[in-house]
Amino acid sequence: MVRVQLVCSPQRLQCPAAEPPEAEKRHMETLLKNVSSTAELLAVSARSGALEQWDGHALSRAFHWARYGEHLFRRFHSDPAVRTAMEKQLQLTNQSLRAALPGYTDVSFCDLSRCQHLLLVGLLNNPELPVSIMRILFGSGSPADTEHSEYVDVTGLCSHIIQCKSACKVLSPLADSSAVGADAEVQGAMLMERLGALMGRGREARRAEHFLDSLLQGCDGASEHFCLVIAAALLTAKNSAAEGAAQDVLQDWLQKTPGVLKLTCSALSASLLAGLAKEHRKFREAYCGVLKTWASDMEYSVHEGEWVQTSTKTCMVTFQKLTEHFLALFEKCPPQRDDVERELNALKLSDGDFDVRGLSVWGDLLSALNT
Amino acid sequence: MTEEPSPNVQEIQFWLDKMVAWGRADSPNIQRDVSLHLRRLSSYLQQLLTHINNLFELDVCCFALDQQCLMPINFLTNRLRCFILNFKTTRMALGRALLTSLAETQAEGCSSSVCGDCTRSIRAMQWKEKPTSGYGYGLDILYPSNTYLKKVLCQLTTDEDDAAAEALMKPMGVPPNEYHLKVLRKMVALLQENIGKRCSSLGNINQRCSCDSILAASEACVPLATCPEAAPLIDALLQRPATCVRAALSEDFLDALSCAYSRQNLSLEEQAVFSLWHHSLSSLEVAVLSLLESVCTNTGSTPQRMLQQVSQSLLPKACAQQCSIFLVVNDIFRSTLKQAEGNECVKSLIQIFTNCFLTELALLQPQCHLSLTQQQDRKILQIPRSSLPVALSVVISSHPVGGTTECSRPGSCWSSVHTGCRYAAIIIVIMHKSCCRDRYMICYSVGAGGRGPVSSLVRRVRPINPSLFRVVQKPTG
Repeated sequence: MVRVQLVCSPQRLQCPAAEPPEAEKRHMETLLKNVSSTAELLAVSARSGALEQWDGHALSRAFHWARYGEHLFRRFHSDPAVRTAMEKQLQLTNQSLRAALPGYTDVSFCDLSRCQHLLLVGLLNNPELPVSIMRILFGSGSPADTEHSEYVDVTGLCSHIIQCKSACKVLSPLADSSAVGADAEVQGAMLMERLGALMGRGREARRAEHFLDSLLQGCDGASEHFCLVIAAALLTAKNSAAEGAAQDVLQDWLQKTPGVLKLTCSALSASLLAGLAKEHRKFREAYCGVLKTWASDMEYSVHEGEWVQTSTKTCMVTFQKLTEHFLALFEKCPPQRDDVERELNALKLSDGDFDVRGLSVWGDLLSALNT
Repeated sequence: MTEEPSPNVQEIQFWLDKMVAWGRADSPNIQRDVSLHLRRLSSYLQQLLTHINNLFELDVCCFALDQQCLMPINFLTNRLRCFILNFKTTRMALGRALLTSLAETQAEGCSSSVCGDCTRSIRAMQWKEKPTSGYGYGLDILYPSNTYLKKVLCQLTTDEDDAAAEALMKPMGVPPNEYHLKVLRKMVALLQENIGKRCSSLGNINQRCSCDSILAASEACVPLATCPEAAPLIDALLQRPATCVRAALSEDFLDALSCAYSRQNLSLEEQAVFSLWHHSLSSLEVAVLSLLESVCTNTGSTPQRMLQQVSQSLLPKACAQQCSIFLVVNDIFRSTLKQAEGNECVKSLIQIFTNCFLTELALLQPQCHLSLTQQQDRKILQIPRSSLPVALSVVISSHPVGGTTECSRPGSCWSSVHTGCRYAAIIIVIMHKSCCRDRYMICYSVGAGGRGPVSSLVRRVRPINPSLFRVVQKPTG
C-alpha cells in the first residue's frame, strides 16, 4: 500500500557545492528521497482512493511538491552527475511502484519538468476525486502568484488554463501578421533559450547539436513544423552575443545534418526563406547552394515543355517554384542578384552558352529571372 | 423553500436547436453566434440548475413521505404534480443541454463563460455523488452525467491538440500551461502592434486600409472581456484614435466590456475606461448609477468615505477630460436631484463630486484661476473676466436665496450665474474658448428655480455647437 505523507513540505534547496562532503552526502540523500516522494505523489494522485479525503490544504501541498519537482529539474538538468543519480533513483522508485500499482506508468527525470501538469492530469482522471477539489480547481478567480510562498493557491487553476487555451484559439485567425505564426515564434524563442543554456559559458556546440538531433528524431511526422520552428529561431532578434552564437550553431547543424536543409527549403515559403537569407550570411550561401543543386538535378522534358526534377525521392520542386525562390531572394537581398547571375552565367557558358530553350537549365533560369 | 420560476420548457428546445446548429459547422459566423449567445445561455443554465436544486428538495420531501414524517400534505402534492409534469421533458433536455453546451462550445474555443457553468454544474453534482437507494422516482438523472462531465472537464484542461508543438515542448522541458500562456501573450502583442498602426487610407473612403481588422478584432474579443491576458489588447482597441470610418468597435464588444466592468471583472487602464464610457453610453450610465447606489445605500458613510468612493470611480476625471461624458453625468445627476427631493445624501454626493471635478479640471487647465468664496451656505465661484481657456461657474445652494444675476457678455466668459431655487440646484457652465478645439457652451438650470434671467442669458450667447447645447427649464411655481 503506497502512502504518501503530505504533512511536510520539501525543504528549501541549499547550494550543494558550498558544503563539506558529509553534509553534501546527506544533502544528496535528501534530494533523492524528495525525488522519490514526488514520483510517489504523482502515483497516488492518479490512482489512489485516498484522494477522497483530500481537502484544500492537501491539494495545495500536493502542488507545492509538484512545483518542487519542477524546480529540481530546472536546477539539475544540466548537471550530469546529479541528474544521473536522480534518474537512477527514479528507476528504483518506478520499479517498486510498478509492483504496487497495476497499470503504473513510469516517471522519468524529464517528466519532472512538467510535474504540475502530470499531477493535474492524474487528479482529473482519478474517479475518486472529490467534488470539493474540483470546485477549487474550476472555481473563478485566477490563481495568485505564490512562487515563493509555502501555500500554493490553486483556486481557478483549471479555469485559467481553459481560458488561456480558448483565447489562443479565438485570436489565432487574426494574428496573421507574424511570418511564421505566433506559436512557432514562441517555440523558436524557447529553442534558442535551450540551446543557449546547453552551450553554457564555454559556447560548446556539441551538446546543443546532440539536442537538436534528438529533437529531430522525436518529431517524425512533424519534421516540417520543426523546420518552421528553426526558421523562427533564426529570425529571433539577436539580443546578446550568446544568442548569436546559438544561432550560428543552429545554422551549422542545419547544413551538417543530411536532409534537414533541403526539407527546410522546400517546406517553407520563398519569402520566409528570403527573409532568413537576409539576416544570416551562412544561411544565404547554403540556401543558394540548395537552389543550384535543385536546378542541376533538373532535366528538360520535351513532353511537358518544362524542366522537371529527375529524382522524386525527396522534395518536389517545379521550375516555376525555383524561379520564385530566386526572385524572392533577390527582392530581399538585392546585392545577391549580381553574384547569382554571374554564377549562373558561368554555368551557362560551361553548358555551351546556347540561347535556345531546353538546352541548359542555367540559361533558361537566367531568362526566366530576367523577364 | 423558495419558489424559483420553472425554466421555460420551450426555451430548452431553442437552446438544443442552437447547439445542434453550432455543432454542425465550424465557421467564423458560428463562432460569432456562440460568443453573442454565451451570456444568455449561461444565465439559462443557471436557471436550470436552480431547478435541479429544487428537485433535490422534492427528493427530501419524498423521503420524508417515505419516513412518514409530518409534512404539509398539499405542499407535497403540489410539488409532486409539478415535478411529474416537468419530469419527462426536463430530464433528457437538462442532461443534454448541460453536456452538449460544454462539448460544443469548447470546440469553438469560447470556454471562458463555460467555466462558470462548469462550476455550477459541479455544485449540482454534489447532490448526487453516490447513487441513491432509489425511491423509484429516477432522480438520479445527474449521476451518469457526473462522470461524463468530469471527463469533458479533464479533456478541456489537459488535452493537447497541437501534437507538433507538444513534440517539441516536452523534450525542451516546457510545461503546457506555460507554453499556452506565452503563445497567448505573443498573439496579444502581435495584435496590439497591428492595431497601433495608423490608418493608411487618408480619408479616401474607397481605399482599403488596415482598419478593417479593428472590427474583427473587437468581435473576437467579445468572449475575452474577462481574460486578464487580453487586457492590453482591449486597452489598445479602446484607446485607438477613431480617425477612420472603418475603425469602428463592435457593439457586442462594448456591451460585453460594460457588463464585465460593472461586475468588476475587468481591469483596464484609466484612459481605456474613459474611452469605453465615451463609446458606450450604457456603460457610463451604469457607472454613474452604481456610484449613486453605493454611496446612498450606505447610510453610515462619512464625507471622507464618499470622497474616496467618488474619486475611485474615476468619473470626475473622465468628466474633466471629455465634455461628452460630463454632459451625460450631469444629466443623470439632474434627474436624480429632481426625483430625490431633499435627499441629503444625493446633495452631498453631488457637492463632493463637483469639488473633485473642479480639482481635476484645474489640473488639466492650470492657467485657469479659480477661487472659491463661501458666502454662508452658498459657494460661488468667481472668475476674472479676462479671457481664459476655461471659465467655470458653479453654484450650489441648498436654501432658497434671492440672488443677483450677472449678465454675460456675448461670446466671452461667464462671471457668475445663480438662480434662486427651492432646493438643491446645480448650474454648471463651461465654455471653452478659442484655444480649444471644441467650442461649445452648455448651460443647465435645475430645480424649480429655472428663472428667466438664466434663460435670457443663454439665448444671448450664441452656441457654437448646437447639438451639445442644452437648457432644461421647469416652469416656476
